[in-house]
Amino acid sequence: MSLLRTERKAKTRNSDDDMIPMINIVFLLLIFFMIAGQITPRSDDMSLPSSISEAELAESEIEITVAADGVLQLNGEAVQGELSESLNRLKTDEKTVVICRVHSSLPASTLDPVLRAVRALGVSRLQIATELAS
Amino acid sequence: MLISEQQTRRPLRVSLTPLIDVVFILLLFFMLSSSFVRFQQIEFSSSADDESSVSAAPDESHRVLLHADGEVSVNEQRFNVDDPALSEQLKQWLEKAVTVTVTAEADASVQRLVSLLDHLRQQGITQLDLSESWQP
Repeated sequence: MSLLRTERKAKTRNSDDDMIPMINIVFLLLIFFMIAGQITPRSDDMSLPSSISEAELAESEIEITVAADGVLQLNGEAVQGELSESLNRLKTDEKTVVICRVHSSLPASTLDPVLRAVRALGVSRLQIATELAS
Repeated sequence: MLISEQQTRRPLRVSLTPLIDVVFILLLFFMLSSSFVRFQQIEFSSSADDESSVSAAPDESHRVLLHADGEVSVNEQRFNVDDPALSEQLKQWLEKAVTVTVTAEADASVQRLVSLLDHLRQQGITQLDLSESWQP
Protein backbone atom coordinates (compact mmCIF):
# COMPACT_ATOMS: atom_id res chain seq x y z
CA MET A 1 0.00 0.00 0.00
CA SER A 2 2.68 2.44 1.03
CA LEU A 3 4.72 1.47 -2.00
CA LEU A 4 1.81 2.37 -4.22
CA ARG A 5 1.48 5.80 -2.65
CA THR A 6 5.10 6.74 -3.06
CA GLU A 7 4.94 5.64 -6.62
CA ARG A 8 2.00 7.91 -7.27
CA LYS A 9 3.77 10.81 -5.58
CA ALA A 10 6.83 10.35 -7.74
CA LYS A 11 4.64 10.48 -10.77
CA THR A 12 3.11 13.84 -9.92
CA ARG A 13 6.46 15.40 -9.10
CA ASN A 14 7.83 17.19 -12.07
CA SER A 15 11.32 18.36 -12.86
CA ASP A 16 10.49 21.92 -11.71
CA ASP A 17 10.35 20.81 -8.10
CA ASP A 18 14.03 19.94 -8.16
CA MET A 19 14.86 23.44 -9.29
CA ILE A 20 13.22 25.22 -6.39
CA PRO A 21 16.29 25.17 -4.09
CA MET A 22 18.37 26.51 -6.94
CA ILE A 23 15.88 29.28 -7.62
CA ASN A 24 15.98 30.17 -3.95
CA ILE A 25 19.72 30.62 -4.11
CA VAL A 26 19.58 32.52 -7.38
CA PHE A 27 16.99 34.87 -5.89
CA LEU A 28 19.16 35.42 -2.85
CA LEU A 29 22.14 36.25 -5.06
CA LEU A 30 20.00 38.56 -7.15
CA ILE A 31 18.79 40.46 -4.10
CA PHE A 32 22.32 40.66 -2.73
CA PHE A 33 23.73 42.15 -5.93
CA MET A 34 20.78 44.50 -6.30
CA ILE A 35 21.18 45.92 -2.82
CA ALA A 36 24.92 45.72 -2.14
CA GLY A 37 26.25 46.72 -5.53
CA GLN A 38 26.27 50.20 -6.91
CA ILE A 39 25.56 50.54 -10.59
CA THR A 40 28.20 52.79 -12.06
CA PRO A 41 29.18 53.39 -15.63
CA ARG A 42 32.18 51.22 -16.30
CA SER A 43 35.32 52.89 -17.44
CA ASP A 44 38.17 50.44 -17.37
CA ASP A 45 40.83 52.93 -18.37
CA MET A 46 40.03 55.11 -15.38
CA SER A 47 42.41 54.67 -12.48
CA LEU A 48 41.91 57.06 -9.62
CA PRO A 49 44.93 58.17 -7.60
CA SER A 50 45.55 55.95 -4.59
CA SER A 51 45.63 57.61 -1.23
CA ILE A 52 45.59 56.75 2.46
CA SER A 53 42.67 59.11 3.00
CA GLU A 54 39.74 57.30 4.58
CA ALA A 55 37.14 60.01 4.14
CA GLU A 56 34.23 58.58 2.22
CA LEU A 57 33.34 60.10 -1.09
CA ALA A 58 30.00 61.84 -0.73
CA GLU A 59 27.25 62.01 -3.30
CA SER A 60 27.21 65.24 -5.23
CA GLU A 61 25.23 66.81 -7.99
CA ILE A 62 28.37 68.13 -9.63
CA GLU A 63 30.88 65.56 -10.75
CA ILE A 64 33.73 66.51 -13.00
CA THR A 65 35.61 63.65 -14.61
CA VAL A 66 38.94 63.98 -16.33
CA ALA A 67 39.51 60.82 -18.37
CA ALA A 68 42.90 59.39 -19.24
CA ASP A 69 42.91 61.30 -22.54
CA GLY A 70 42.29 64.58 -20.71
CA VAL A 71 38.69 64.93 -21.87
CA LEU A 72 36.53 66.77 -19.36
CA GLN A 73 33.13 65.43 -18.48
CA LEU A 74 30.52 67.13 -16.35
CA ASN A 75 28.05 64.71 -14.77
CA GLY A 76 28.85 62.13 -17.42
CA GLU A 77 28.47 64.43 -20.41
CA ALA A 78 31.40 65.74 -22.37
CA VAL A 79 31.97 69.44 -21.85
CA GLN A 80 31.55 71.60 -24.92
CA GLY A 81 33.55 74.80 -24.70
CA GLU A 82 34.43 76.28 -21.35
CA LEU A 83 33.82 74.25 -18.20
CA SER A 84 32.73 77.28 -16.18
CA GLU A 85 29.98 78.01 -18.71
CA SER A 86 28.56 74.52 -18.32
CA LEU A 87 28.92 74.77 -14.54
CA ASN A 88 27.06 78.06 -14.41
CA ARG A 89 23.99 76.34 -15.77
CA LEU A 90 23.84 74.16 -12.66
CA LYS A 91 22.41 75.34 -9.39
CA THR A 92 25.02 75.93 -6.75
CA ASP A 93 25.35 77.54 -3.35
CA GLU A 94 28.01 77.77 -0.64
CA LYS A 95 27.24 74.25 0.56
CA THR A 96 27.76 72.64 -2.81
CA VAL A 97 30.51 70.06 -3.00
CA VAL A 98 32.22 69.51 -6.32
CA ILE A 99 33.68 66.06 -6.88
CA CYS A 100 36.54 65.67 -9.29
CA ARG A 101 37.54 62.26 -10.61
CA VAL A 102 40.84 62.54 -12.31
CA HIS A 103 43.06 59.89 -13.85
CA SER A 104 46.11 59.34 -11.68
CA SER A 105 48.80 59.56 -14.35
CA LEU A 106 47.69 62.87 -15.83
CA PRO A 107 49.85 65.94 -15.22
CA ALA A 108 48.69 68.28 -12.47
CA SER A 109 48.04 71.01 -15.02
CA THR A 110 44.90 69.16 -16.15
CA LEU A 111 43.36 70.19 -12.83
CA ASP A 112 43.81 73.89 -13.65
CA PRO A 113 40.59 74.39 -15.65
CA VAL A 114 38.68 72.53 -12.94
CA LEU A 115 40.18 74.69 -10.19
CA ARG A 116 39.53 77.87 -12.15
CA ALA A 117 35.93 76.92 -12.87
CA VAL A 118 35.24 75.88 -9.30
CA ARG A 119 36.72 79.11 -7.95
CA ALA A 120 34.75 81.20 -10.42
CA LEU A 121 31.63 79.41 -9.26
CA GLY A 122 32.26 80.45 -5.67
CA VAL A 123 32.17 76.87 -4.42
CA SER A 124 34.54 76.40 -1.53
CA ARG A 125 34.54 72.63 -1.26
CA LEU A 126 36.30 70.54 -3.83
CA GLN A 127 36.83 66.83 -3.36
CA ILE A 128 39.23 64.77 -5.37
CA ALA A 129 38.14 61.15 -5.61
CA THR A 130 40.76 58.63 -4.58
CA GLU A 131 41.02 54.91 -4.14
CA LEU A 132 42.21 53.50 -0.86
CA ALA A 133 45.77 52.28 -1.28
CA SER A 134 46.00 48.59 -0.45
CA MET B 1 -17.53 23.17 -25.52
CA LEU B 2 -15.26 20.24 -25.21
CA ILE B 3 -12.23 22.44 -25.28
CA SER B 4 -13.37 24.72 -22.49
CA GLU B 5 -14.24 21.75 -20.35
CA GLN B 6 -10.82 20.35 -20.87
CA GLN B 7 -9.23 23.65 -19.96
CA THR B 8 -11.04 24.00 -16.67
CA ARG B 9 -10.36 20.47 -15.68
CA ARG B 10 -6.67 20.48 -16.41
CA PRO B 11 -4.64 21.19 -13.28
CA LEU B 12 -2.92 24.54 -13.59
CA ARG B 13 0.82 23.94 -13.78
CA VAL B 14 2.96 27.01 -14.29
CA SER B 15 6.36 26.08 -15.53
CA LEU B 16 9.17 27.66 -13.57
CA THR B 17 11.69 27.60 -16.40
CA PRO B 18 10.82 31.00 -17.98
CA LEU B 19 10.91 32.59 -14.54
CA ILE B 20 14.37 31.19 -13.91
CA ASP B 21 15.50 32.48 -17.28
CA VAL B 22 14.45 35.99 -16.41
CA VAL B 23 15.90 35.80 -12.92
CA PHE B 24 19.20 34.56 -14.33
CA ILE B 25 19.33 37.43 -16.79
CA LEU B 26 18.65 39.91 -13.99
CA LEU B 27 21.27 38.23 -11.82
CA LEU B 28 23.86 38.43 -14.58
CA PHE B 29 23.02 42.07 -15.21
CA PHE B 30 23.42 43.05 -11.58
CA MET B 31 26.56 40.96 -11.15
CA LEU B 32 28.28 42.52 -14.13
CA SER B 33 27.13 46.10 -13.76
CA SER B 34 27.55 46.65 -10.04
CA SER B 35 30.79 47.63 -8.45
CA PHE B 36 31.78 47.19 -4.85
CA VAL B 37 34.68 49.62 -4.83
CA ARG B 38 34.23 52.31 -2.24
CA PHE B 39 35.87 55.57 -3.21
CA GLN B 40 37.56 57.94 -0.85
CA GLN B 41 38.28 61.60 -1.23
CA ILE B 42 40.64 64.40 -0.32
CA GLU B 43 38.91 67.66 0.35
CA PHE B 44 40.10 71.18 -0.21
CA SER B 45 38.41 74.07 1.44
CA SER B 46 39.64 76.71 -0.92
CA SER B 47 38.31 80.12 -0.09
CA ALA B 48 36.73 81.75 -3.09
CA ASP B 49 38.60 84.99 -2.48
CA ASP B 50 41.87 83.14 -2.89
CA GLU B 51 41.82 84.02 -6.57
CA SER B 52 44.34 86.80 -6.14
CA SER B 53 46.94 84.51 -4.60
CA VAL B 54 46.79 82.16 -7.56
CA SER B 55 48.61 84.57 -9.76
CA ALA B 56 51.05 85.48 -6.99
CA ALA B 57 54.62 84.30 -7.16
CA PRO B 58 55.06 80.71 -6.03
CA ASP B 59 57.69 81.69 -3.43
CA GLU B 60 54.95 82.92 -1.08
CA SER B 61 55.11 81.63 2.50
CA HIS B 62 52.92 78.69 3.57
CA ARG B 63 53.24 77.37 0.10
CA VAL B 64 54.50 73.93 -0.78
CA LEU B 65 55.76 73.51 -4.29
CA LEU B 66 55.73 70.05 -5.77
CA HIS B 67 58.30 69.29 -8.42
CA ALA B 68 57.78 66.78 -11.18
CA ASP B 69 60.34 64.40 -9.63
CA GLY B 70 58.39 64.24 -6.36
CA GLU B 71 60.61 66.59 -4.37
CA VAL B 72 59.09 69.63 -2.73
CA SER B 73 60.19 73.20 -2.29
CA VAL B 74 59.38 75.33 0.74
CA ASN B 75 60.71 78.86 0.95
CA GLU B 76 62.91 78.18 -2.08
CA GLN B 77 64.56 75.30 -0.30
CA ARG B 78 64.30 71.93 -1.91
CA PHE B 79 63.50 68.94 0.24
CA ASN B 80 62.93 65.27 -0.14
CA VAL B 81 59.42 64.43 1.11
CA ASP B 82 60.83 62.37 4.01
CA ASP B 83 63.34 65.06 5.00
CA PRO B 84 63.14 65.82 8.76
CA ALA B 85 63.84 69.49 7.99
CA LEU B 86 60.62 69.59 6.01
CA SER B 87 58.70 68.01 8.88
CA GLU B 88 60.15 70.69 11.16
CA GLN B 89 58.91 73.45 8.85
CA LEU B 90 55.49 71.82 8.61
CA LYS B 91 55.31 71.56 12.39
CA GLN B 92 55.87 75.29 12.64
CA TRP B 93 53.04 75.92 10.23
CA LEU B 94 50.83 73.51 12.12
CA GLU B 95 51.35 75.48 15.34
CA LYS B 96 50.35 78.68 13.57
CA ALA B 97 47.29 76.90 12.14
CA VAL B 98 47.72 78.36 8.71
CA THR B 99 46.21 77.13 5.50
CA VAL B 100 48.92 75.50 3.46
CA THR B 101 48.70 76.03 -0.25
CA VAL B 102 49.96 73.28 -2.48
CA THR B 103 51.16 74.16 -5.94
CA ALA B 104 52.23 71.44 -8.30
CA GLU B 105 54.54 71.76 -11.23
CA ALA B 106 52.57 71.39 -14.44
CA ASP B 107 54.32 68.11 -15.28
CA ALA B 108 53.91 66.47 -11.88
CA SER B 109 51.37 63.67 -12.04
CA VAL B 110 48.13 63.76 -10.13
CA GLN B 111 49.24 60.66 -8.24
CA ARG B 112 52.32 62.51 -6.95
CA LEU B 113 50.17 65.44 -5.94
CA VAL B 114 47.79 63.18 -4.04
CA SER B 115 50.71 61.42 -2.35
CA LEU B 116 52.09 64.77 -1.20
CA LEU B 117 48.69 65.76 0.14
CA ASP B 118 48.56 62.45 2.01
CA HIS B 119 51.98 63.19 3.47
CA LEU B 120 50.92 66.66 4.59
CA ARG B 121 47.80 65.23 6.18
CA GLN B 122 49.88 62.65 8.01
CA GLN B 123 51.90 65.53 9.46
CA GLY B 124 48.68 66.94 10.82
CA ILE B 125 48.03 69.66 8.27
CA THR B 126 44.38 69.46 7.40
CA GLN B 127 43.80 73.00 6.18
CA LEU B 128 44.88 72.48 2.64
CA ASP B 129 44.33 74.49 -0.46
CA LEU B 130 45.24 73.60 -3.98
CA SER B 131 46.31 76.27 -6.39
CA GLU B 132 46.76 76.13 -10.10
CA SER B 133 49.84 74.43 -11.44
CA TRP B 134 53.06 76.26 -11.93
CA GLN B 135 55.25 76.21 -15.01
CA PRO B 136 58.96 76.32 -14.08
